[in-house]
Amino acid sequence: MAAERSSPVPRRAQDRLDDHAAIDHLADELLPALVAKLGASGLGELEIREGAWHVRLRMPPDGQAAGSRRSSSGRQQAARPAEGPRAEHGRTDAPAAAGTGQVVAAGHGTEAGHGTEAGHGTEASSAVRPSRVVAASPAVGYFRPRTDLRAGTKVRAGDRIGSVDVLGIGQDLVAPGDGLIGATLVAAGEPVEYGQALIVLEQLSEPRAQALGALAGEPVPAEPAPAAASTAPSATRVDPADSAPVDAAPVAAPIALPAAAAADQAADAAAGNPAATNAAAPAANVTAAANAVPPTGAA
Amino acid sequence: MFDRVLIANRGEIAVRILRACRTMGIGAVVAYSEADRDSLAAQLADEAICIGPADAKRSYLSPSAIISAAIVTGCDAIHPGYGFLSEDGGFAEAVAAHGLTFIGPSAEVLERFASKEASRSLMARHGLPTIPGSDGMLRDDEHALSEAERIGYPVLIKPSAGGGGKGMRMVRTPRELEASLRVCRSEARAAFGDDSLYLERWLEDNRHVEVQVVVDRYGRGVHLGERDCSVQRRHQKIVEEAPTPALPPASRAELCDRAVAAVVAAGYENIGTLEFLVDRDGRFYFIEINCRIQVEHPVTEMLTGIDMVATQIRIAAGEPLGFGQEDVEFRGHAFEFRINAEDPAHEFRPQAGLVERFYAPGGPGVRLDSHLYAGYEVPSYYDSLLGKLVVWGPDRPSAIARSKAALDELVVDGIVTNRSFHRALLENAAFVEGRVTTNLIDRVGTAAFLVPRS
Repeated sequence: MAAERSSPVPRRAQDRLDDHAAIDHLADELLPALVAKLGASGLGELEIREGAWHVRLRMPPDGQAAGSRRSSSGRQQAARPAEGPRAEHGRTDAPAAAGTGQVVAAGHGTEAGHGTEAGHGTEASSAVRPSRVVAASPAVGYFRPRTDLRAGTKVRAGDRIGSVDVLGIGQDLVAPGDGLIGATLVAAGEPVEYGQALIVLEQLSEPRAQALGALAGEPVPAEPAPAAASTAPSATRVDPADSAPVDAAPVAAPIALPAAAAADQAADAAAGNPAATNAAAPAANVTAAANAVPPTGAA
Repeated sequence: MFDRVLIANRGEIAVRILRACRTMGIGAVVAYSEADRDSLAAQLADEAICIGPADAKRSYLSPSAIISAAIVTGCDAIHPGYGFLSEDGGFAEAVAAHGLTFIGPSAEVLERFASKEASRSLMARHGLPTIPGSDGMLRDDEHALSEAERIGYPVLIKPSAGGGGKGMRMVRTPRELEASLRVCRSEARAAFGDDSLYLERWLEDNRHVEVQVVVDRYGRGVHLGERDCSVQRRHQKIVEEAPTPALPPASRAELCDRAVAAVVAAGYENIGTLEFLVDRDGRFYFIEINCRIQVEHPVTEMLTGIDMVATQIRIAAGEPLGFGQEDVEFRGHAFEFRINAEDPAHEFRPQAGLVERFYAPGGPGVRLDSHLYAGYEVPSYYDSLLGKLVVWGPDRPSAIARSKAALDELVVDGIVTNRSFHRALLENAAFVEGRVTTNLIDRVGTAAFLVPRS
């Protein structure tokens, strides 16, 4: 199922497809079940292997997930889509949310530990968001949410729900899908970077609620796969404004799909962000080690 | 001095600039595209900020994204590195308009040297010999043909903008000229957004020798010697060295002195490189000036011990140069080998993928400027430069011996590089004797430099 990595030749398209399929399988079928098992078992760590892949799940040492972090300029980095496990320097961890589990997906013996150990408590900030629930910044600049929108306001895909001020010119932030305005992750006027998650759109459907339950450690249904699989295709676009070739995001996104909204809110609660309107109820914290997954550049 | 610099570039040069900032006590913010989220520079930076998607047009080539990133991260200067927006006068102007400092020549200086053809006549007025060429830009095919006739074949078609061999072609007959004009125009338009072309007489068996200059805002300039960049493949530099084996010491001194005198007289400022062609008889001709830090600057650093990026930042901050020509000493001999993600066995096809293992060589006089690490995914969107192996020795033979040892030590697994090509080059008689001309590799063919892979 996975590509042969010992060979020095570049990866073939078929290898990539195989890897993608393997990751989808992991995300849709294995991870929800594994997270539930880990949560129920009281074990600290769980690792499984399949072919050239292995997945390791690890509880945070203190039983809590790390919170969000802030950059030295006060730019909140907590909620970016598909952020890799980039090491941050000199950052201190914010107090924890009520996280219970952490998932690291890794491939080909590339140690998942690269993701977890390199980030000094960046787990929450590494949480991956699917496009369907988070509106991501179209540019680098200052965030200007629409003042007439409140949590619970219904919006349609494509509606302008704010803007990012780039050198005095506003770039529209549009709703990536239909839904209800949820948490605003960044305060008005704060600096934001390209791709940063800004506004959560609530669209909890039955399958999603079920998956969240699974991640929170409740008993998992035998077959969670179909629901997750059906939502996967729309999750392969992280940022609606991004027409560029994909990087690791599409691969990572499906993995975190069920837990995204929860982790968003957990991160906000942890950061004490006044813009967060909802406390995080379900509390799984999911990390996809974006640089540990196989390349997808030319996919 | 600046408090915080935004590094608006990627790869090894972003790491190099970051190191200069660190040694100067300046905060370093790295602006990165989504494809470079896991880059070494982004990891090492005091702060890293995503400015756009992988597509360079919307990230590293987007003036508004870069300036906005500098403002929101509290930077007071922007270092553009090389390539991308490094020689864009419009960008430099926009940076200044937002109250930030562009680390490089001022917009006004960049505009003055923006056109290769215009800088050629400007430098000719200030006493540098130039290659006979067309009178201004080529207006149309007719004009090109008549100018080529006047200059004498073979001629080199060159685009006014850009570099790196794109849109450049040598033609020997009017027929080849007619056929190539359209290709060169479209290549130049695609690469630089400007399709104006001019002609130069082609010098057979020429050498590429360039002079490094540093000029402060107060008109004080020194040269840091020359570099020989004759080892090229399709007009792309592969190996650079200093001093040049093409010229005796007296000629080298004359070349460098005249270059710095002319460039100061022409009102240049900041760090720059004047490129010359040297013919079989040792005559030199100015061809163009590069208004940026260059890829091969470490060769000069090895000889002079001067941190050129730090010097560039100091000059941009308005500091006087602080040293004179008599303070610059040149010691020994240095090479730079560009380690590229390309496959010499398959037409140097660019490679991308996961670096599984990486080991940097060491020892006396060995330096590797690179952004590689084991586990790094080389993205497919940008150029193929993975790093630069720079080797110094007290003389040329010892530098060659150290280079062989260093290349043998270098390990980059998971991705094909041109390391074997460099290794074969070091055994080539023309290279060892210092006789390489710019067309040698293309004439001989790269097959001569292939070694069977074990």
